Amino acid sequence: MDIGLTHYLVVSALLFSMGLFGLFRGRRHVMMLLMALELLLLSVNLNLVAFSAYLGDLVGQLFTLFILTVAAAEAAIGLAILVVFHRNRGTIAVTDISEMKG
Amino acid sequence: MAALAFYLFSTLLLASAAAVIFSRNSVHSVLFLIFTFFNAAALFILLGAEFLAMLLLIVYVGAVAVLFLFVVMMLDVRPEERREVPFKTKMRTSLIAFFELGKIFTVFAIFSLAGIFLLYAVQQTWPALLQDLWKQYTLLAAILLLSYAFSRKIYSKSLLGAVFDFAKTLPLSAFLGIVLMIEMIFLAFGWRHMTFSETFVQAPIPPEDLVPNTQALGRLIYTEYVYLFQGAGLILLVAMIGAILLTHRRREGVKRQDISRQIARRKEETITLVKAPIGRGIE
Repeated sequence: MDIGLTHYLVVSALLFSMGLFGLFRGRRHVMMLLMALELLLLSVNLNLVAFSAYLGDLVGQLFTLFILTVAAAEAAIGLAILVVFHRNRGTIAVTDISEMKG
Repeated sequence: MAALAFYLFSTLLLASAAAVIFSRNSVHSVLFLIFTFFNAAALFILLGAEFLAMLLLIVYVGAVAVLFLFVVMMLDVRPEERREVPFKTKMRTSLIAFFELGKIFTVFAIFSLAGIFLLYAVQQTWPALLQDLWKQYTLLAAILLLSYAFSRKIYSKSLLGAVFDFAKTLPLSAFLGIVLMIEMIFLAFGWRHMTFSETFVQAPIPPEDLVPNTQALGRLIYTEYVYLFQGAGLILLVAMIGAILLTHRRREGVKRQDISRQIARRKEETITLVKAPIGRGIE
């Protein structure tokens, strides 16, 4: 069967919903949250590259390049925040943190 | 052949993404994430974006995922503890609620469809009877209400109640995820290609044998989109400074230079003339 654009879009949609589900699970484990964010960004990248290939436009791949850059930067900062948080609190279970609740 | 490759890589991609989410051990999650990136890179190559595929491997796998692994090992994240309700019981209640919902919905759907079919047959034989639109709509509404009342008579639970019962057995996140996935799959199968979109192509992909993908991207990045490129570099710089600043610790007892103090030195502080008595020296 000929692989069309729709196939890639469905794969991207499934990956996105899995990342979203992991985002909800990340309330318990913060590492899961960051990994689910990476999955979300990966699904968007796949979507963009699929469209770029099927519409013959290179701008899609260019945009993916920039998304990759920003994702790497955001992962680095997120992990740094996590490390400092763990250093100060001794735990990264987000449900134990309730100082800001009114 | 290409179809086989696509199906193989996309199945492995989705399976390892699911394993990232559902894995109890954080280290396993990160390793499955790395495998996900590998499969995504393979899909990128199938689409002809080989520069991005290699970039994914170098940047995402080689840097970001390794960073994840460092942090997971360093923070010593504990594996998830067992839940109170065993999974089998949860599955059973979920399945029962789903079948209840299915039964109510099936009765409703059957009677609605029968009524609509009857309406259609009436319209075919006597077209003059249902000429006005309001007549059609009121009859349709009456059919739907009647079938709903009938299904309600058979099963005492309302359709909305059954939906809520089913939704209660699932965690809210899974429910939302499933709804979103269904929406997006509808979207994926229902989109239409604009017929005149060839004129909107901003950067046409040159043929692969003439210009390799890397070169074609390079021709774009350094000419038309150079400001964005430099901006991305700035973002990386800011991220680097931010990460260092966040995690930097001041250690005690380390000899440091204080440049401003060194520069602010005055001549009067450097040299002092002291008259030393002979034989005694200075203290």
